[in-house]
Amino acid sequence: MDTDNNEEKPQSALIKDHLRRSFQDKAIEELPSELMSLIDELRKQDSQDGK
Amino acid sequence: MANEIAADIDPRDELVTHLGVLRAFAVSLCRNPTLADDLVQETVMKAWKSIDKFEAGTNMRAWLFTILRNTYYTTYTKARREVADVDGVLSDNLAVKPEHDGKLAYSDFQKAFVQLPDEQREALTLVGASGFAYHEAAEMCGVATGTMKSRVNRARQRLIELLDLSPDDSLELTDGGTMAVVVAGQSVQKGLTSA
Repeated sequence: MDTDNNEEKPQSALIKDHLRRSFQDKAIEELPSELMSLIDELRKQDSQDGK
Repeated sequence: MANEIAADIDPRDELVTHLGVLRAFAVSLCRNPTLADDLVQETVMKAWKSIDKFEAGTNMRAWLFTILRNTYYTTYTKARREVADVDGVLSDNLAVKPEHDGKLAYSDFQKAFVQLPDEQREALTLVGASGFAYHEAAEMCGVATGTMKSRVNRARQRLIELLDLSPDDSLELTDGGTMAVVVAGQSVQKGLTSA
């Protein structure tokens, strides 16, 4: 985001800071149990298929 | 060297390590946590079935993000129009400027962010939050690098307008902790520039 803009304006820096925080907050949330169940199911299927 | 190490990791194991950021990307696209979780599940199933096509040592996060966005734009866009905003995120905040009291509140930022058009929200998320280079984000979205830069700049400008930030008072629009991060970042950037 700042590759071409080393003299970044304060507004842009604030936006970037909040943007990263928003993304990271979501990324570190506990994953839904349905998603982990899906992973387990896919692994089990792979195991049965000999992969 | 890095590629050799990456090649030793089972790509299925690596895939699992990207689930958190994949979900964050999905939420930023959908603006609807329930749809986002469905989108991530569908992406994972597609990726898992195609895992043999993934080239070891290349960027798996970019590969997963590309699958997710393609799925979103081909399957979920229509669904999103029909059921989006089940949590009232948008209806509570449309066309409402923040009534900030001298600080840029995190909640105000989030309200403004969801008002951006899809392509601008996506561009900001990929470049500003996920850490992809402009050319990587452009490749994932199937556009020219210049187009990606333009989207990021328009998104940033739109947020400044929505948040009612002005160049003169922006330094006072946040709390001390955030400003410490911002100032530190600017110092590093200046150091890199002068080096």
